[in-house]
Amino acid sequence: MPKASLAQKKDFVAKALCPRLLVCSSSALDNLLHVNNFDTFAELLAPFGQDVSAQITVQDGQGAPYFLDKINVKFITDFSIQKPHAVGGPEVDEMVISSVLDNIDKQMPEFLTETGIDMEAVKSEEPIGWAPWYTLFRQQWVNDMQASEHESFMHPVACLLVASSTDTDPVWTLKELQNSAEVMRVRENSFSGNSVMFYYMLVHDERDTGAMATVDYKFDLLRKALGQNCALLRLNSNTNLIGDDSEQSKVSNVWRGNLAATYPTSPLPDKQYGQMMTMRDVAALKDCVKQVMVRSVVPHMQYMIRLLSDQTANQRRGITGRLFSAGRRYFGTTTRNINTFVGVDGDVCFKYDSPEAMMRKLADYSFMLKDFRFAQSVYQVARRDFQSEKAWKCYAGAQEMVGLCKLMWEVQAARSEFDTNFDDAISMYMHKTHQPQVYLAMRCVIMYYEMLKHHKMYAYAPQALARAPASLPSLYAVMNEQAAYAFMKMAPQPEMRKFSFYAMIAGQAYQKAGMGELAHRCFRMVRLTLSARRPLPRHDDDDEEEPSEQPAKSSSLARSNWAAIDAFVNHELGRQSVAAQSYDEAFQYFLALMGNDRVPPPLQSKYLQELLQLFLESGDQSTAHDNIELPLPVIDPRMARIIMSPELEGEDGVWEWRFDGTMPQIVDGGKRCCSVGESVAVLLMVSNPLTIGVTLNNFTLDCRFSGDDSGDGSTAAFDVSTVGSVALEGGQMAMVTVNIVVHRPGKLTIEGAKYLLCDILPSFKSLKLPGRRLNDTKEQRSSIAYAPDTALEFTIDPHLPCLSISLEDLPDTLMSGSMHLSKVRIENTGDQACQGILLWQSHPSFFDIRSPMLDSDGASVPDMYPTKETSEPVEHKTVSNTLRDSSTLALVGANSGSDGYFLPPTSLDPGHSFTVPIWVRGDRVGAHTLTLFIGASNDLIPEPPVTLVCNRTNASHTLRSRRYDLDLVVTPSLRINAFVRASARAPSERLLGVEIENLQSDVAMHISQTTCVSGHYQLEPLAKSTETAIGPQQTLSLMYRARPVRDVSEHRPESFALGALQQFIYSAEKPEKEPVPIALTYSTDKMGDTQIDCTESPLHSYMQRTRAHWRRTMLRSEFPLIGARYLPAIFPLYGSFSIDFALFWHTPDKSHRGHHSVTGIDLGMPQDYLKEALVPPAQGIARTLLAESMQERSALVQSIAARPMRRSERPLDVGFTVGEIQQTGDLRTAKVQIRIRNHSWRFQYRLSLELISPIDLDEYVSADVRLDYTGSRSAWAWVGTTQFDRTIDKHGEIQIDAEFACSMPGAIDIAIWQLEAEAVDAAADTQFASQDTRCVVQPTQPFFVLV
Amino acid sequence: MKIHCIAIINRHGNPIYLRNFDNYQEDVKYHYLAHTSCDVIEERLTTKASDLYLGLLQTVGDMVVYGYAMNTGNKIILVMSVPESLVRGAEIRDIFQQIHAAYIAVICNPFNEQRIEDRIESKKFDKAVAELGRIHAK
Repeated sequence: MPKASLAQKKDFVAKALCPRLLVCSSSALDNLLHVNNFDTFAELLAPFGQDVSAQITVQDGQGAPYFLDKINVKFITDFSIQKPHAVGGPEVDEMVISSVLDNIDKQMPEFLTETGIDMEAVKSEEPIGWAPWYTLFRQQWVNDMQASEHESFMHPVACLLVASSTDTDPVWTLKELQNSAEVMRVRENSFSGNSVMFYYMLVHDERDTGAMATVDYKFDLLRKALGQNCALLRLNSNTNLIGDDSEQSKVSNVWRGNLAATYPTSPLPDKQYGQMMTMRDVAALKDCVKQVMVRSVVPHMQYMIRLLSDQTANQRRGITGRLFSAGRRYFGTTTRNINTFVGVDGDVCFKYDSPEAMMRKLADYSFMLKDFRFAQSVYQVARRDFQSEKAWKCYAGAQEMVGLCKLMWEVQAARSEFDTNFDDAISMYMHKTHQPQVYLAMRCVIMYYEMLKHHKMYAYAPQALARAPASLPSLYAVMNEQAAYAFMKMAPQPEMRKFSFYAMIAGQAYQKAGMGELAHRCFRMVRLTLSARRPLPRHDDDDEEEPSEQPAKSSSLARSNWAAIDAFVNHELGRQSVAAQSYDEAFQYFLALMGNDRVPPPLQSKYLQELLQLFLESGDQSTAHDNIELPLPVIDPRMARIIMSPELEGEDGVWEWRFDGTMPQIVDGGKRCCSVGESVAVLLMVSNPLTIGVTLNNFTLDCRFSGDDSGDGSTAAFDVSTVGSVALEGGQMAMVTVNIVVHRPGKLTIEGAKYLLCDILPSFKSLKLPGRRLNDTKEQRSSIAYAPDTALEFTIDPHLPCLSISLEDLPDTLMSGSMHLSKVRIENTGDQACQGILLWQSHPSFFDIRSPMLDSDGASVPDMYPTKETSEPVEHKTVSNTLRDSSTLALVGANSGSDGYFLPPTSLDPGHSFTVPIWVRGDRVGAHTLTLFIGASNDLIPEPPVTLVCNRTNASHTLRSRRYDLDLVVTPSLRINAFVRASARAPSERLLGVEIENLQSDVAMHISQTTCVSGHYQLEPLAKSTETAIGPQQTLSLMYRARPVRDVSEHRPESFALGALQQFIYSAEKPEKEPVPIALTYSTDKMGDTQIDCTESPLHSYMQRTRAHWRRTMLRSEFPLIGARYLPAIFPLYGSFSIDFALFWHTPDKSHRGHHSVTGIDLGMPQDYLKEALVPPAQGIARTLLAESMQERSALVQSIAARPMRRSERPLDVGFTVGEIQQTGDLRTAKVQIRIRNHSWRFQYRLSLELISPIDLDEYVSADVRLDYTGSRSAWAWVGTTQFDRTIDKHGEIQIDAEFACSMPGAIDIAIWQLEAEAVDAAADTQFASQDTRCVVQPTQPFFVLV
Repeated sequence: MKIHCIAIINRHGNPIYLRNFDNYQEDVKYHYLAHTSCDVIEERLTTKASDLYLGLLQTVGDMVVYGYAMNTGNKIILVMSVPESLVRGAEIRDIFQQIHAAYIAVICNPFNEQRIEDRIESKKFDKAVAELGRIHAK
């Protein structure tokens, strides 16, 4: 790249429009020229015409002096006026194309990088380096400029005639030269008017010793004959004086450098210029040219300026000149015709002696001598005249020069209005002249653009460049490219969108011109600008490990919002790449086109077809085939799911079993495991972003297996199934399932999806995702690092059990209370015996799981309700009172026999299967989601978890499990209300009322039996009910009397709980004793024919488990701070005073059977005895040193103390028995036996009973509490002692005899008394004291006596 | 005075709506015109503050581009053919105000989940714009 040509733009204009000298040399010099490898003398002088440092003072048009620093001059050998080339013709096209040298760097401009736009570079760089071919083109255009009749610029200002000292008569030779054809042409041209100045030069070759003596003589002769305009040039061609090679090459480079600058596109001739010369000669030449310029040419031009200035003074100034010319125009006869002529291209021109032509010459000379101000004024005057003469070419030329002068005149440039001048000039050149002077117009555009660049006024540049003729695509492209750069240099902000627009236009034009490389470059610029303009959205996923950056870029482009533009650019680039046979690149662009849903459907299908076509065409020539990653279709890796054992229901996985009643937790965030040889399904959501349909064929997955490679290489480690065809309509989403079978243990990672797009294009879609963000080390925190993703991988563990589990016959809807038989079938499909299978149920009261039956046994499932023939209203049975976790069961392996439930088989051998009957019961009305887990292990599960009272080791097992979520709707059948009354007859008895409502609208329900289970009471029906059927919407009431069956033993469940709770709170040793077994009483009221045996195991243990579940749920909500694993050690299963009521029913046809139960009806005295556990014991308090455990303890105490209060407590009850009424006259008396019962099992009471006569009633009780006694107020009264002070033992009963007297017959209520009691030895001093240590009891119900 | 294209650009310089009424030109041309107008609008907005109407943005070939800035930062761009006769600014302004009103109706519709930055997908707006195009088809 010749840097010398990158001169200043102002210099460029000055050089282009510099004075020219015609050089004619005598033939005697040919020898000298020839040995120095020059063709003409002008060629010899050419380098010295550049920047001649004139350093002289010249006078401007007004006579004011100014300093001329440098001047350029061009030496020409011939002069003629020809028609210029037609723009659009082959010459200009050739010129443009030849500017784009092969060795030119066609990289992107430096400011555009893959990462974005470097604003600093945009600001600092000159656009000249962004498109070097423009500079070359510009230079060529200048070289090609031709003289025209309307201006004097390309015309020689003088002739340089050169003779040799070897000429015998140099004077004659020079005279001859004066008459040569070239010189004659100069004389005849329109601007010289025979007044050509000659300058004579005598060249002496020092080698020619023969002429040495005569040279001075000859030169004197010359000066005498021709005057002062003579010069003697001594040159040396003596080989002896030539220095070494380095000097020679230095000499040669003077010419070579000039050639390279002036004709950058043509290759340098392989000639040794000036091979006989030394640097001394070069200096002599330079000096000689300077002398010519300073002594003769410039003064001659000065002279001409003065002369022309005088001659045109009238024209230029004053109204008179104007009037004169106007008069001449309108009134003159012939002058006008004389002054003008028609030029070679058919335009009107002026003859040399016309004032208009003189003015033009004057202005041109002034311009050449850099007197722009004066030149401008003259041009302006001339312009007016040209306009009035309708000499449009001249007018346009003058306009052009006015504009140029304005810009060249530095101080005024920024302020003046120059754009209109150029605009006018160009449009005149184009439209008003005889033929469009496109060539001149183009020159004008170039000059104008250069001046704008010089002044950094880029705002005008695009408009100026747009005026360039658009007929030739190559020229149009170059100009538009420059316009694009001008937008980039726009102040204050680069206009990048316009840059891209114009670059796009340039690219299209380049393509039209067949300059594919530059077109490609332009489009790439557009693409880079477009992607750089929008900062990429922060995508954390593909920054780090992206193997190549390009796909990321292209996909980001596909996502940008100016989709139509992006698609257009990508499409163009793709097509160009195809044309250039660079298929890899083409693929990139076409891939970026895919997945763009904002492109209209016809274009989408066009792009798709072109992509497929490209693939077929490229054949083997592209390397990208294996790894094409299309943005189409969209597969979200986050939506991908790995499903273990897909043919079965339920969710497979590895879960952790804790055995504390809580649901198994999934391990490791759902790590997937399977056994060898199992089929695993991978579910992918595939969606089509386009609006046209596509098909994916041979859809399969790319997996990586790592692990056991020991197997023989003949079989693959895994098999992946293939989906033949997936058809996706526009915008559609489809689910694709691919099955994988792994044959060896290890780990399988799913890397991506592979498919043939439209059965042609093999594509790959990576399904990699980053894992969680790493946050462990400082380094990880400061950078963005991710753990490897594990969502799409699974482990193949040969030790995992492989079971085929199926749930059969599950109900959707159940009547509340009714039972339904379902089955779980478990088959061991693995190759190892399974030694432990556990089952967890979220709702133990909904399931009754029976003993597994091996299929080979063929036994039938026992009935839900065992019956027995004999009828036993009351049975006793001692059962364990431990509150077990009823949610976990062992189906295989560990012996849970202590439960007395069933004995599971010890192992399940491979290939064997068994069925577990499961009774599903609608326990509660509503819609439920029941969760079942079935977990299995090939190893023995060490300890039967269900027998643990208190699981202190926090043991847990990780089992491969299957989770089932079952939906069950339970519809209402019966509604049961139970209520309890105290018995007035005996203070120890209670009455239980049950109200049963049939909620069915059309079915009668038959009650077959009721059974009550209690530790303390025995129940008997108050009336034997024979009516067992309840009609639809009917209600049945049953009443039972509850009577203590025995005295309460010392091992009361309540005292166990109290002690254990106290120990739990205050002792370091956590309680771990089991409560003692409790003796239960089963009171049955049989209404049907057969008795259902509640003491037999299936039913009995089901009811026990239901109770356990109920009690655990209750306790956990009541004591949330006590860990679930401590509950069995603190709270027993049954309490003393509560009863469980069960009601068995069936529909008339016995198709539905079931039972309802009311659990935990408390018949005992309501007491909040647990509060006493909060009282710190006298000794054995664990010392806690840590504040935390202290806080924990106080929080626990607070929570228990703050439980909602129970009803008011009532430890004592009073009952009456009235003896026979004695009548003595009017007065009737009767003995009354008062029995006082102490329900409390903890306290001995001192009590004081006061019997109150009705007449004193108001003192004790406010009137609204009791019934109205006004009628019988004075009818009766207690007689004898009415105040009794006694002591009553724990659970004791005392009798007091009293007597009342009544004056008239009738019914009286004698239950009028007040009992004050105080516990003996109660620790009454703490805040946690039970309320019943001191209480006042009053009657709650009347006791009527008929007198 | 024929409307060739109506486009709406959001404040990040992305197109949220573009309707081409010209049967002879592809959409991409108008995308380009709207895209290059963003440069001009950005420049205008730095100086002009009060008026929403931005006036003539640029002339490209035989088309003129007018601009209008909403208070939300969204811009309306109107591409028309170079008028035969003198065009009064009030006429252009009127067209812009009609588009603006239609857009406000879309944005303020409480049952529409349209956000200011998002592409306008509203049948009603489509209809309003189509009607404007029909009126100014000559």
